[in-house]
Amino acid sequence: MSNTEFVRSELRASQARAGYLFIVPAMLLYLTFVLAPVVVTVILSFAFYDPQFGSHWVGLDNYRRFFTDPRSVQIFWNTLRFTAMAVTGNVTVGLLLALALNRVMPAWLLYFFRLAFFLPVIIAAAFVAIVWGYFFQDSGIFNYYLSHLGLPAVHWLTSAQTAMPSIVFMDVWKNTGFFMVIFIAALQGVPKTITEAAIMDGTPSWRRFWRITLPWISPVVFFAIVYASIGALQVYESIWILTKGGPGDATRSMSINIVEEAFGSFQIGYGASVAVVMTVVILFITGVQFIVSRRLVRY
Amino acid sequence: MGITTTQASRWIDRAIISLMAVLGIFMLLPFAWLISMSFRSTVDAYRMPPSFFPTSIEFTNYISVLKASVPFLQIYINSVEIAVIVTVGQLVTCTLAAFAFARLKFRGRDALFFVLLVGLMFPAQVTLLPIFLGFAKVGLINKPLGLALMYLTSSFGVFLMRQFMLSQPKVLEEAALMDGAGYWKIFWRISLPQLRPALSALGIITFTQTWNYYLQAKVLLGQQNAMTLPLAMDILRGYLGSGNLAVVMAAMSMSVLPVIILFLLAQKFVIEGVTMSGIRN
Amino acid sequence: MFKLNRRSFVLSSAALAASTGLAGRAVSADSGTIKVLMNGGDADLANTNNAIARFKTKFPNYTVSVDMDPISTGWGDYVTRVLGEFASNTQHDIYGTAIETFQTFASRGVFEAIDDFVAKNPNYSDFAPALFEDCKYQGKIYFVPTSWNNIMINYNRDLFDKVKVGYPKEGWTWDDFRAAAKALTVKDASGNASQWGYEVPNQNFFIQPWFLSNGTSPLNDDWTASNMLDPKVAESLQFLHDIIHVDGSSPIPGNDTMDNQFLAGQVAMISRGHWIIPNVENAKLNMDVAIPPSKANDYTVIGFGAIGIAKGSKNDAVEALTAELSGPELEADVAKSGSSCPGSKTAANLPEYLAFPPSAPLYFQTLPHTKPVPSPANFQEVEKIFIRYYTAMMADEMSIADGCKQADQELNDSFSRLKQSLGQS
Repeated sequence: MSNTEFVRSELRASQARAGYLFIVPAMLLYLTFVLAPVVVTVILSFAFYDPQFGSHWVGLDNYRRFFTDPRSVQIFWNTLRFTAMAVTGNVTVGLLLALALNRVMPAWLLYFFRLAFFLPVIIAAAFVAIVWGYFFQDSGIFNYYLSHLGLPAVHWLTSAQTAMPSIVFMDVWKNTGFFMVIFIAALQGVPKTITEAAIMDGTPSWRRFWRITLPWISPVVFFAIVYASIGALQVYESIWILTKGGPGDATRSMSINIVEEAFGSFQIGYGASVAVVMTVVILFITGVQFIVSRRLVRY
Repeated sequence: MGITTTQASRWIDRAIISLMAVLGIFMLLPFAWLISMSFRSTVDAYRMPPSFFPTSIEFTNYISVLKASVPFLQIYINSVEIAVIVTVGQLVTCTLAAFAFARLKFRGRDALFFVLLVGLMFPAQVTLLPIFLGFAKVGLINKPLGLALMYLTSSFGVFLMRQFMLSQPKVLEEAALMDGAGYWKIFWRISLPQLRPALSALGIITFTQTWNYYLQAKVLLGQQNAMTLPLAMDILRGYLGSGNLAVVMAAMSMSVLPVIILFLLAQKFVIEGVTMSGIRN
Repeated sequence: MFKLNRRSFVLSSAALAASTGLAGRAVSADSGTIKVLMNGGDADLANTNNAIARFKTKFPNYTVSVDMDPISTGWGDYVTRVLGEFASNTQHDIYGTAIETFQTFASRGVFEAIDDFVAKNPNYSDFAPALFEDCKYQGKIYFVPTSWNNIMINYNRDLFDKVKVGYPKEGWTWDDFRAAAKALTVKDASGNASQWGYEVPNQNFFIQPWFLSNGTSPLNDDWTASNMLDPKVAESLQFLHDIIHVDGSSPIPGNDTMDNQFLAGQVAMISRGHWIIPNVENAKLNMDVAIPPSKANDYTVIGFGAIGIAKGSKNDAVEALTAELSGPELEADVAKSGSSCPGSKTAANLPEYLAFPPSAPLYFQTLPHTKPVPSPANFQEVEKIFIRYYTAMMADEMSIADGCKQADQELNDSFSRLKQSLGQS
């Protein structure tokens, strides 16, 4: 080997050593607290596990039970329904808010807007849900004002039709600020030259948005949709504190079902199998979104 | 003479901003109600009409929280302890790993990063159960440290820090490399100082997330003096929810304070961090 | 299954109260720590601390720590917590619990059989043996009963006065109740209620009297199978449903209980037990209680509080503390704090206990006509299944017929799963 080659490979080796060393803490923790538990959960899903009654293998029985249980369809459908509504709501409202705020205004006003819309994002879902639970009660604040306006009271959380939309409404209130902030920055990245040229050409504003702005920020829109979907598919507190999954099974999501079965009924193996199914669903939906993005997202 | 287009667009601007202002106030209404409810006397708490501005400032509810059989102060300290440990842990582990992923070349780098990213898609439910069973065997149940241990690193943190690093010029680092500096020195002296906004952003996002954990805390920290604040609310709601909501609101006001203060102090960095995670995907 | 003789329990407790204090016992030099998990609120914590103080006079070298669980989300979560403690080896030594949990805990073998302890304690020999039947599993005693709670109709006398409806009389019927609820509902111009006549309950325990007074129950008599297909079960559910949707006298049962609205005078009648008395007294509400209305009979539901000793924790000191936590002084404390009904009739005659509500003697009067809340070993799942269908039926999302049929199916599935796991234990 020539001298330079030796030095280069020596450098490469020392860089590799440093690289591995630097990632060791994170990867080790990740292995212990994420990958290993996932593997264990998959293993548990093939067993009946009970600390007091003893455990044994049951093969695919848990999965069989999940796919033949008539409730599973409703629960699965609830999860998808919530995700579709929440993602649409969060991303659309976030985008609209960003478009509305993407204009010149005094600094203190911008500060107020950022605070008002981002504050719900950082407050715990557990807290927010308690407050909104009181708002949504049949004898609560919303109905109080409705009755004062002479309108009939709405069974916000006790009617299957309005329960899920009510929960989504609260979820959008809570999370849309996050997406608004991302979109504001994205909009500011759209080159002014192009938009100004379009204005001078007399292009109407909605067409400007559709043909120029939207394609330009499509990568960010895509990211927002993926991120919102992953979060929505896992939703727990928002639904649990407002309705506990009710009335009946109308708002029960997969994450609630897992917690109820594993920790409530001590059907730990069954709970694990539902958790595995839920993870597969998340991976699948994210995968689909990536494939669709190839066509729609312009980089 | 009609209105000019610039005048029209200025009116539209004003109209939209006014609409947003009204919307902004609506966004804040639940918080206003929360605060005013916390000041309502026990007898008045459930009387309609609801008040959005405190009609009388009474601290009875706040005192009830502190005097309740729930060890509120201890729970507060637990929340702070866990949030601080997790934040520091993530800042350290995620920044180190991000440096390697963003600046160093080594075999399997991109594959390992992808493996890390997959972690973003695992819901808490799929990792919680085995961790609970595992912690039970080693005696880490009902110990705030256990919950902190679980989150000492995060895929999102590594992703975020890597994004920040990639968006920064490599010039200084490459120069230092030419000069023969070791990687640790480069990391410590050059990369890290450039990352201050990123560190603040990740720090606050992590602190807030950890502060707000509910399900994980409920499973791992059942005992009252090991709990965190979101769980304390459940207890304050009393036997089957018959407790006074005003007292719960008072407890909540006290619980959201650290997060709000942190946010106000570093609004700029949080926004930047959130933005950075979204822009460069 | 159980023919609990309340009267004999009550009379023997009176005899017990006459013999105060345990036989003199020398102060022990033993030392150690005992961990206690009790349930309830501040009053129960105070009573527990008093018992510990008495215990310390005999075992001064022992340290006792107390944890309280307010049971904010029902006994199901409490079971989860306790079993989680055993699974993670962080269990307490003494547990306060309730009848709903007895079978679940006993069948999993996490509590000590205490027949010998009960036999040698002079206080318990006066208890009716039938009472301990409830605390047995496969012939062995696992729990010591300490207090009880039934469900009564709690009503706001001021609201009754306002609409000039007479207070509930003894022996009042379902129809009387329905009429009263209707009269007590105040609606505004747009048809929204500003005051409800009744709160149709959303908790398993509170709903039971509506089945019992109709001579039926959601489970069969020995709690081994579902009884949801009994037409009388559907009849009770229909009655409650109609109060909500036909009369409009009650809101649809949701996630939250309406105790606070009751205290604020927005609901005229609720089904609760003695535990709300301290809150009611604090709110200075003009309230009284009535035995739930009858249809086939005037039965109401009863639940017991009890304590048990964790497996592996039994020793002299723990037994002595358990005795204090179930002894006559504690009974007196329970009566005075009003958090539950004391077992002892003498304690129930204390002036503090009888001071409020005006019809306080009614609680004890119901004793011969009570049935325990169904508490099979899978009660957590049973309760969840029942409440799920119940809320759907009360919200009119599912017909009563469909709800009963599907609930019956799911309940029996749960029971067969239980039999399987017990068969393998």
